[in-house]
Amino acid sequence: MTEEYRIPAESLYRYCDISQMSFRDTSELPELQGIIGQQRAAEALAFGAGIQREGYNLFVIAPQGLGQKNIVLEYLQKRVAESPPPYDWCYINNFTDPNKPHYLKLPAGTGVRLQNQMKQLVEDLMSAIPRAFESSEYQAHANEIEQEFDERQEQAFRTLRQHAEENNISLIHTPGGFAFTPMREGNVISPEEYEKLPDEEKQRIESVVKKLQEELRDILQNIPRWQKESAEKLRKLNQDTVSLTVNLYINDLKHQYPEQTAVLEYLDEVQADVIEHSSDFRRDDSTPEFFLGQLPPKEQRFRRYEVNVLIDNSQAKVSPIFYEDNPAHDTIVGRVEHLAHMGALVTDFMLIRPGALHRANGGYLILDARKVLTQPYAWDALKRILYSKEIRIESLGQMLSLISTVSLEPEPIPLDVKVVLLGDQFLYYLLCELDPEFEELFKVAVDFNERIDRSEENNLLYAQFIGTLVRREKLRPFSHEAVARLIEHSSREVGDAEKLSAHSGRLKTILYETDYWAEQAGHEVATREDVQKAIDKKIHRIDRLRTEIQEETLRGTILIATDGERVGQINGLSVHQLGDFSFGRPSRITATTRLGKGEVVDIEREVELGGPFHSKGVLILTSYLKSNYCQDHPLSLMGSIVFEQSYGLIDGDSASMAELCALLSSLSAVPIRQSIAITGSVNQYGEMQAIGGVNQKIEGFFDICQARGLTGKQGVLIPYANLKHLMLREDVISAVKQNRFHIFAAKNVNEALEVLTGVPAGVREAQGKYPDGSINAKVESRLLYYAARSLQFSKIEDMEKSLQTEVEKTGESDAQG
Amino acid sequence: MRKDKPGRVLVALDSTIDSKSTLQIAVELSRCLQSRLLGLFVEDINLFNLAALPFSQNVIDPSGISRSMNLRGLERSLQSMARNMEHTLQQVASQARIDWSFQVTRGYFFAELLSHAEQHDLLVITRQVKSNYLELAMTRDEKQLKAETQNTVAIVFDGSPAAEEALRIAAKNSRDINKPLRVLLPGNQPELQEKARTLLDPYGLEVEFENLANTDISTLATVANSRNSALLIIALETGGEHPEKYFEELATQLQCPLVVVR
Repeated sequence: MTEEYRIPAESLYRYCDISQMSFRDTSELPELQGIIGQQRAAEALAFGAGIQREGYNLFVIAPQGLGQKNIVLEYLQKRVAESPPPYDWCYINNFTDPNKPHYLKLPAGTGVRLQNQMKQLVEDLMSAIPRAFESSEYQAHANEIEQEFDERQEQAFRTLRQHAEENNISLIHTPGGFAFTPMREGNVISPEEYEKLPDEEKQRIESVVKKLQEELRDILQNIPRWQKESAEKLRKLNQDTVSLTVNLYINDLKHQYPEQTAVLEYLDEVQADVIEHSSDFRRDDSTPEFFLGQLPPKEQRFRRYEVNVLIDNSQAKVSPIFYEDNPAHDTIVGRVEHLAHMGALVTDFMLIRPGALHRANGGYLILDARKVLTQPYAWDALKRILYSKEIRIESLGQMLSLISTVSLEPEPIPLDVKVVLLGDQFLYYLLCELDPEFEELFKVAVDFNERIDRSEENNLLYAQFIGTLVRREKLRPFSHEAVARLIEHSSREVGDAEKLSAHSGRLKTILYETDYWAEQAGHEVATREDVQKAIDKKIHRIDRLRTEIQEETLRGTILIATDGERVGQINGLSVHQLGDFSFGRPSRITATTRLGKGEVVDIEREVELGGPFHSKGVLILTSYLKSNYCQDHPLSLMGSIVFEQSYGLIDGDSASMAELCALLSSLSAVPIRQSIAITGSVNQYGEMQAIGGVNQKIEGFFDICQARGLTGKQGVLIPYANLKHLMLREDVISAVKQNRFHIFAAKNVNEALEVLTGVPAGVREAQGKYPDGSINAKVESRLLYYAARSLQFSKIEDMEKSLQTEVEKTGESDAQG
Repeated sequence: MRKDKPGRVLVALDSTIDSKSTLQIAVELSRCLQSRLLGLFVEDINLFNLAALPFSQNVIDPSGISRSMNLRGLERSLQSMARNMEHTLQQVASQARIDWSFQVTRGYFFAELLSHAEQHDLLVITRQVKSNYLELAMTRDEKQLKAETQNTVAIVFDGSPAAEEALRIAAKNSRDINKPLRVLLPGNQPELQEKARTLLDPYGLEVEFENLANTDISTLATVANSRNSALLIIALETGGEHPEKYFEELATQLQCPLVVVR
């Protein structure tokens, strides 16, 4: 009666039809154009890259290793192929406020040209300006001004002296200034002589001295004004002298930028500054001032005329596409560096360094979302800049007020960039949930599917994709059989015979390894056997744990029966995930039942080794028991279920059908065949539902059976819904073909019970009863028995309680009596 | 008696002169002549007399503010200046690696100078008044320009043995400080020029000759000042019978230091 549930060998594996492959090897295949089977993502990418509106940045949703970065890069490269080259971006000195440098936006290649021209200008002026000051005309004018000042001073003092001498008084120098005194024979009158003078004379002298002091004070007060006038004249002379020279050079430069208003304005400012600071050009680094540290070196004096070419696009032909692999705050936004000078940190516009946004400005910036989010303040900075549409360089130290050294506030550069974030689904939905700004800034989700349909068309495209990778990675060509095996392997990777894996990273790995084994075998073209060897070797390198578990099972340490029959004991199947390798193994599940209060105890949950999904499965099967067998009476059952010899966390509901069958076996006392393992989940109606890892689970049980010797009775029962996922190993298929191993598929618990016990499960008849002898009838009968016994016990309990009450009452009356 | 090289250089300093530049010139001369240098700081007795007068007021340069003078204050001020000058001399002399000494004396400036001059072959004198305004009035460029334009060493050569010695010293100094030499010749005497040229030949210098009508104080001062001389070198004998008066007046009128060769 189990025959009807057996699955033929042809359904256990979907071979790739090589007759449809009209090529001998991948060298004959054309380059793959576009993206295979990712229509939704391709459309989203085209839309996101095309729409020029605020907030239409892209978030590419794809698991790591899918190759999404390359896909996006290739697409964007094609898109920008006809675009104009981006602008050069420079920072220049702000002559009004050096702490706030200005930017210059220049056509590609112009930045470096201007930078070189400014360097040359300084060199030229360093020789031209001193020459202008050495001219005899300048010297004559400068002397004239100085003489004029001297003469005014001398004239004033001469007059003062004359006034003093007229009164026999002299002006003499003292340590701190001047004093007036009467003289005797060329020397100051002694105090004794002065005392001898008549009082009138003394009064006269003192009065005259007072007047002369007033006169001297006037002169001294006038001198600063004369000095200022002279200095002003000299400054004017200097300016006139310099202007002539500087204008000549600057105008020459201006003619080269007739359309660049910003450059012309900048050159005007340079012109004014050079004229104002012409003296800097007249001193060289051999003067004592330089050695005494009063004069900064030439490089520093003329640094303000330099041009900091932040982004040089002289070699760029099209809009930039920039991928930043270390998206920290500073590498995205740019930074202002500092230099240690005389123990202090100093900076200027020449120390502004670009960030990824500067490099990508005018094009596309690709960033890894996880990296951006894990770098402190990088995400906030990126959002702030995307909102403001300008790149404002602000150091973290400044932002957090951690440092107070002099820093810069460079003029923000306008931003015209589309940001493409690469991340997985989890991150995308997390950001949607937690960051309200995210959806405003990243309006385009480019959702890549991890699996694509295994259609004939896609098979061919997949072959082209393999061919493209083979050529790009410089591997030997792959034969069409090898390609077919890779397609089959791809289906196995995703655990679905109707799908292919879109994971290019894993495909590349198997291509590299196949190429290696092909080389070892001396094959010029990689064959199907080389691919198989690469797969087998890869598994072999990592499956030590599987081997050990299998060994312990065979040695009887782990108890797994593969023949005979047992009541309440069943072989469940589980999957272990080790990195990107997974394997299945059988686990003994046992169930016991007795009279109780309607609960099924999941021992795994009781000891907190059962995950929520596992507990859910147990609760569902309890519900199934109640609804299926206990419509009219209470479930007076105490059942317990356990995964034997399990010492780790168990989760998932793929064993719930096995647990239900074990429980029903225990209730009905119908034994379960130990030669059959089962996987599948169950719902409240007893339907068998699909589970994951079906191939690994089947192979896990097969390996144990094969090691012990295939009896022809062994097999695995799987949900019918999992048939399309079957991509089993060649040895399993071979055993099935030879009737030495079997794969069964069931749709519900009744079918499963029949396969597992060989006894009909039974369907309720018109009278509402299960047929006699069926498993369901036995279960129902047992549960009714439990219910009746439970009722009896509850009556006895009631009687005992009332008797106890009576006894207590009697006791109380006696005491009162 | 003439010696092959001068024994000692004396630089006269007081409170009013531009001591630093004078010191530098004196040190430069000592270094070039490999002779010992004495810095003589004269506390001018005139200042003490002035401070003792009842009405004496010091008009401060450059503020123009008047302050009463007193002896104690003057003494403190002069002592402080002397210390500063000694310190400055120590610095510049040690840089030039010359032997030096410093002495403070009180009296009339030129009398004290000449009383100490006996043991010295070279006297460096200046009466250039140190004016804060002159300093303040000039920008850095102008100071540089001024220094550059003071481009000659002037020497009065009358053919006497002392003048010959003075010419040799001037030639050495001119060569060392890399400035051209201007030889001032009293009267129109071609043979004097020829003699000077012969004496200067070994030094390979750029020399300019200028004939003077006479060597009176006014003529010399006018010529030296108008030619922006860095210093004027003159033989002691040129001072005539009253060198004290002559050199005092000449030094007062000159805008550069005066070097007297004995």
